[in-house]
Amino acid sequence: MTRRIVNGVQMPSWPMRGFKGLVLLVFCAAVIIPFVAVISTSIAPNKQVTDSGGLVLLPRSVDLGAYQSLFAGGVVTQALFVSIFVTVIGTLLSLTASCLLAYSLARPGFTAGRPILLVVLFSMLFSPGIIPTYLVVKGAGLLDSIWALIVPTMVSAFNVIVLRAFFANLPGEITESARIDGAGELKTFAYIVLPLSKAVLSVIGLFYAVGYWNAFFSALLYLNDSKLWPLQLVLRTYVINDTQLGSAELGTEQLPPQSSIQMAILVVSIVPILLVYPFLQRHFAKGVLTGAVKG
Amino acid sequence: MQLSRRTFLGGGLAAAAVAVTGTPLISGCAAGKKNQAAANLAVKLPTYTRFTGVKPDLPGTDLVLDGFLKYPANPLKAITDKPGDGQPITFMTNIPGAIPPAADKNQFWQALNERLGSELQISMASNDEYKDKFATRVAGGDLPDVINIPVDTVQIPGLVKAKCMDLTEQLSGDAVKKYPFLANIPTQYWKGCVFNGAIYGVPVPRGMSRTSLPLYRADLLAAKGIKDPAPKNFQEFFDLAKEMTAPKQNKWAWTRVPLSTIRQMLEVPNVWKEDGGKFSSTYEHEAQLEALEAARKMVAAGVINPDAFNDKATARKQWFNGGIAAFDYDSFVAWNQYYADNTTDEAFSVNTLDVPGFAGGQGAPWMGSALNNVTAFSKDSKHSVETLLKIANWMAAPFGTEEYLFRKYGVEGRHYSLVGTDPVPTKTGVVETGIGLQYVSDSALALYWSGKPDVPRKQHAIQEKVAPRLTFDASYGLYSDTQSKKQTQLTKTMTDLENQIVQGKKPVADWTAAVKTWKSSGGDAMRTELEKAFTDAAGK
Repeated sequence: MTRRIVNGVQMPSWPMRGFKGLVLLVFCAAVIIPFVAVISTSIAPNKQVTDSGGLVLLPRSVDLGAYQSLFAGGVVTQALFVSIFVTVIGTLLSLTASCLLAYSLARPGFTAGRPILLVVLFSMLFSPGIIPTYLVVKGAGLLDSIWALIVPTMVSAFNVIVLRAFFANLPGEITESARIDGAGELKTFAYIVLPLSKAVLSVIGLFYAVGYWNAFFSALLYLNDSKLWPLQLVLRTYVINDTQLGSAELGTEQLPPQSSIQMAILVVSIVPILLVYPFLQRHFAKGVLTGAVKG
Repeated sequence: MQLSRRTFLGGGLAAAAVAVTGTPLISGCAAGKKNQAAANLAVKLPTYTRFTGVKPDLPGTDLVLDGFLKYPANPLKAITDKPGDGQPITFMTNIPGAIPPAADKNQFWQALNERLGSELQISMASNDEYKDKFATRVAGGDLPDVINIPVDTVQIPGLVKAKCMDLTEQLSGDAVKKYPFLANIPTQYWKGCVFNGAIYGVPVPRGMSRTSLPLYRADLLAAKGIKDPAPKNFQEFFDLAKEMTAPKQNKWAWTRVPLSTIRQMLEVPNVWKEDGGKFSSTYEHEAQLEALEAARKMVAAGVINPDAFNDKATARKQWFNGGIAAFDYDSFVAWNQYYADNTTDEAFSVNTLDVPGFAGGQGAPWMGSALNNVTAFSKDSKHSVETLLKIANWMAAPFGTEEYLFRKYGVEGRHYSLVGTDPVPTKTGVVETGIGLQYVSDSALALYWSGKPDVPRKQHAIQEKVAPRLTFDASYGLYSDTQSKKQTQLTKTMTDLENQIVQGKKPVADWTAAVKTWKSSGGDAMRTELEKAFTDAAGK
């Protein structure tokens, strides 16, 4: 039996292809099954969750009790809005600040560029630690303010370096011709450089967005008012605190099992950021590679 | 100073505070350390005056908790004046459950503020994260008026001396009578609030309610024809476990290895034992090897849920709730929690085994840890110490009072409905009331379960039975600097080894070597410090 040749490459034999397919299937299952279990547990009826010891793969029926009790108190809804605000505004501010810094560092002839770059690199090697940062946040009057979730982490040195590498490698002729046409630095940056940088901006934007979306520790330290807590901190409290929702000393109406609630809030916290990925995916490989290879 | 989160949380708090604030937390503490234990003992503890306004159906003792078969009709309004001073009071605490709605959307919180006469602003964190938050705020010099200090906080004496109010004058001896519900907290609990020869806090008492015993699902055992099981020795205990195991039906006897129960059968000490001024640790006890061997046998026989070593407490509780396991080692609080998780299952029933001796006779159960936390008041607070103590007193109003009913259950109609005289919480009630008030101050737990008088009866009966045999931790009320810094890490190392041994991954003989390492890494230092504290206290 001769094997099929496609584009000059001999295709593997059928048993081999079957084996490869099987291996891929196992890997896919390893990724998908836990995800399915998370969703199934969040919508499975209480009794099934309890009987199965906390994890359900195929729900017998759909019960949205866990989601209802999550959103009933208003805490999760409020936290969701906080998270969305912090992620959107934070990402925009971070991109603006990082791009401006990176672009100025990438411009040839900027005399203070090198010392500033060293300062940026220094912050990458030595982080300030919890208490000094806390004192700075306190000194800046940001305690108990939603800006405490954005300002201290607004500029990431790593992202600035990636952006700088990208800007530095844009052909100098383009900016030069813009200048000849009478454009100043800001205009060149806004109308010439940024439109050419969509790929890297999407990737860095995604890095920032995921960072803001997942951050919880700043909120734990800086925010006393739980009204300002982002979703991730609320999620952690649900997942970490092993007790049921209620107080141990009281009797109560039956609430959904703890694992249903945990899985429901996991779904709630994953979905928004998951929705952003497909739109940025096409830029992703290009953006990352640009920074990586030329940096 | 470069300080990673890990080193900071591992005990760098004081060092960090020195670096940041320039105020050594332990200054003064070191100078006075020599006679600290004697000074602590010299403090006249608050006089215990039992509150007699509410008569329990099942009267307790200093150890056994009061039991109530139903909530008293027309609860007594015990405090007429509003304790607050009209100004907001800040409080920082961990909370054990879900995040409650913020004050502006929480009617319970609003009603509380109204009753207190001051707005209570609460800064919360989950149990696990509280220590991070606490340590950062201490070092950042940003403490609230009322502070929940966990008992395992590093270097408490230095911390309270630097940052908290000395309450001795207001609470010592008969002075506490001005705050009748604080006076209703038995004297032994106050021992844990004394540092540097002064009273620095109000206790949040636990003790008996935290005593753990082998809980079992009475309904599941009854279905197998086993009623009121009472194994007389380890072998019968083991046989009972075998009988309740059916792996093919996904059923195991135990949610976790009952090593603590086996140790109690062998009369292994509860943390530290004192004998003639000499201290010995639970790890060093000669019966440890036998206990580990017995636990290993149980694991090998397959009577423990095979996921017991991987999963968290949530899973363990779900196995017990779902009948995947019939036995669990836990406290009276957990016993109630199981009923809270299973309100719709009428047949669901929990009871507990007494602890027999390993070869017969009676075992020696361990008394639960005395305190949940110490509540201290910040030196920088603008409120008077009297106001803050009045708030703590209000929070300690016991079961049967109107204040307790509000504190634990909220407002009738919204947070609970009355069935007879028993309050039954609504979902809203459960969520809105969970703002951590029980950690400002609390009365001792009362044995009670809304609509199920059988529960407090069973709980009271077993408490009366085990009370005379309870073993206490001899180190309670004595301060050891090494223990405060190293206990958590050393305990973790020993627990990890224990798990390996009972799973058969390491030989039982490894325990002896590990105990040697434990001694040299801090165990011996703890012992010396505890013995010294004990001797100083005895000699005054």
